[in-house]
Amino acid sequence: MDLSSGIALAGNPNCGKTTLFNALTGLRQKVANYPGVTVEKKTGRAELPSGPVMVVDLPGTYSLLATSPDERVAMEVLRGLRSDTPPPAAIVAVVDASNLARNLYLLSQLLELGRPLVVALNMTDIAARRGQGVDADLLARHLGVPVIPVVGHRRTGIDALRNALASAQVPTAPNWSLPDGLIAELEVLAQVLRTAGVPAPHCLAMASRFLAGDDAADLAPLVAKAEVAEALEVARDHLAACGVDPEQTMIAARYRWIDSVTAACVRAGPTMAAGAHRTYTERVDAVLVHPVFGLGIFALIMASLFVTIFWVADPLMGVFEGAIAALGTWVTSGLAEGALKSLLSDGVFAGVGAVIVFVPQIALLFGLLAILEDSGYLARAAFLMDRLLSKVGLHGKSFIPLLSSFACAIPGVMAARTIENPRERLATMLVAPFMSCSARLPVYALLIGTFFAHQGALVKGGLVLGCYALGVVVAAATAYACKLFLDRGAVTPFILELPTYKAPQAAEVLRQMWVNTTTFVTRAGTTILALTVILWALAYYPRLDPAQAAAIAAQHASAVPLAAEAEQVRQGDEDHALGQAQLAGSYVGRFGHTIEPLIAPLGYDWKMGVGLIGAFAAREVFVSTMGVVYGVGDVGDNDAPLSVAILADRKADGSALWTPAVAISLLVWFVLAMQCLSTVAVMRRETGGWRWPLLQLVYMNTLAWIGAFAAYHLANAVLGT
Amino acid sequence: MTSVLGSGAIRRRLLEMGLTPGIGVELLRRAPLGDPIELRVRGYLLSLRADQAALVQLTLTAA
Repeated sequence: MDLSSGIALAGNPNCGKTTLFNALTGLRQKVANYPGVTVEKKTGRAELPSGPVMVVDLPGTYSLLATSPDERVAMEVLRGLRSDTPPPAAIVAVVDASNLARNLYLLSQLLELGRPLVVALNMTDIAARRGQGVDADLLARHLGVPVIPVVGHRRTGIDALRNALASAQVPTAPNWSLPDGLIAELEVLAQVLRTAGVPAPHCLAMASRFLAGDDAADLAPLVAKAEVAEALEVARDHLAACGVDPEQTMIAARYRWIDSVTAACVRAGPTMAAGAHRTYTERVDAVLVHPVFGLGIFALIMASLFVTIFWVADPLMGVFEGAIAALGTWVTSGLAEGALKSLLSDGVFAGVGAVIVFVPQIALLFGLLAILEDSGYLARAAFLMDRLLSKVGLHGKSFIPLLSSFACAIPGVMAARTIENPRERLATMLVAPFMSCSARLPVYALLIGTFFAHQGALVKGGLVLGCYALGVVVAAATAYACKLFLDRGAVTPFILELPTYKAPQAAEVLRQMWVNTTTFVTRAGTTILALTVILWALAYYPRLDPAQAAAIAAQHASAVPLAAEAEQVRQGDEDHALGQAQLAGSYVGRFGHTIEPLIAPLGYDWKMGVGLIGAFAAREVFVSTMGVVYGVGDVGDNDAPLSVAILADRKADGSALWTPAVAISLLVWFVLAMQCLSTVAVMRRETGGWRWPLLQLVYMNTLAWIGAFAAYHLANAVLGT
Repeated sequence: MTSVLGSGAIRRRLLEMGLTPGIGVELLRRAPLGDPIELRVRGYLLSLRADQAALVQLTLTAA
């Protein structure tokens, strides 16, 4: 048969579909987005006896009556309703043998699609461990389609599956017995559809889809016809009059059919027959979701996750950054000083470095996430935390993305992919950058170290803690607002399946790390690189007037030859002064002046404005930018010269420019503001457009302005300046 | 279990998850913070928030 339009892998969530996809396609995979939605499209190439074919790994779905964008995409691909994906030539229905009944429900719908189909009976090992033997041959006879037992992670049965696909047939839909009254209504409705132009063989199936409450796109043009809408209304009224609920009746009928199939094909071993024995998973759950031990273990696991991405990733990030910087120096070493050299070292290589620096955190977080998800613990973590987070409109699964955001919002926003519910996922991504990330710490350290150096540890610690707490409180309020105002029409039920515990597969963990890191680098990375180069150009141009540069050099010239050490200091001072003048005269410097009226109410002048603009590259760049602005050079780890320069700065009237109130205002600004172009780039990638990142940028920075304004005036009133 | 109340997508999905009339449902536990709850339905473990679990009508039988 001709499989050139591709095969689709369909199945419930947690049925081992992705492992099977990996086994079928190897590393020849591509991850993209379905146009217009934030659903990942995973495709790969499988070698079949007939030749190579495209395989698409559809999002996990419980039913073809979709309740989320993921499920809608799966349904539309299977029904051939998407212009971006050709209708599949054949379907591999992945069925979890250890959870046969519920998996067969989706299969009962897949059998009606009229496409060639093969069942891959997965996780037979887990079913066997429970003493449930599923007889594949008997099952095949009952379902009327080939049933191939596979163990995805051990790659057994893959060849048999390939062979079965090559000769797959269109199945005959099974016949579940419906009450006579319902059948009569279906037939009447089918007749109306027939006259409305639906081909005869599809009429009855389509009639039952209407009565089952299906709202797929292919039904809409029919409902638009008055006679169909009217017949549907009449059928529903008739059924209601005799107390028949079509949705429940049809679902129950499928499950009765499923019960008869499982009764015939599943040999329950002694453990199941006794019934009193709890499964392995339930025994583990007794500890892992226990009110005391469960929360304790949860805290331990989350603490190690945080330590890993906060501290373990740190030296790796240093190594990556150092390597890129060294490479940049090596590449540009032969070039003359000038625009090209600066573009390469401060634009391109700095941009590449800004992308690469996130790789350790992303790789580690997604490695850990894969372990937690594959093992089945992620669902338990969500189960434990859901109460806390659902109060503000988030999901139990929001916990890890938000926790990760205390290290960095980039992996945090990406980790929100594990949340199926679209509103809860979006809300999580929108509030993640309010968590104080590690890039804010150098800013907090500079401000608190400069202005509160002589205060007790209690005050300093309290200020840091206050910054973290402010972020969390504002995040909670924002999430709650999202709950009230976002997509109120859409209802996605909270269905959290607690899957069977399994040992995570090293190959799958490594694959997750690889796929997520490379997608980040190729998708978000290009945007980050482009934005870094733009930011570079704005600070590099226009060039300092040569006459002015000569004047600065003359100021710093020494009349007498200096000793090597003194000459180095002199040269450093001259470079710092030149850098200061260059930045002040650049577009960034001018823009600092332009926004001064806007930030003056917060207690800032143009120099701080320049720092804020520079901080869009990354928040900690505020510190180094202020170093350049104050002519003390890039301060590195030692803030002291910058602190001195800041404290010495005076306004025109002679009063101190930087006061503790200004510092508090800046702290509030940095807690609340979206100051990170990399986060904007990742938001664009994860939400599939500019709409949400721009909205987030405007929202957070407006909020930051209001917060900093209030903090400045409050601090002035309290501190009495 | 006797029936699922409510209407629309949520009710349909609960039915589709196997909560059909006549089926046995076992309440295993509440989450430590009180919500959601964990059920055993048709041999698998399902967790529902209280507001959705409230739609599921049950008759109690001794375990």
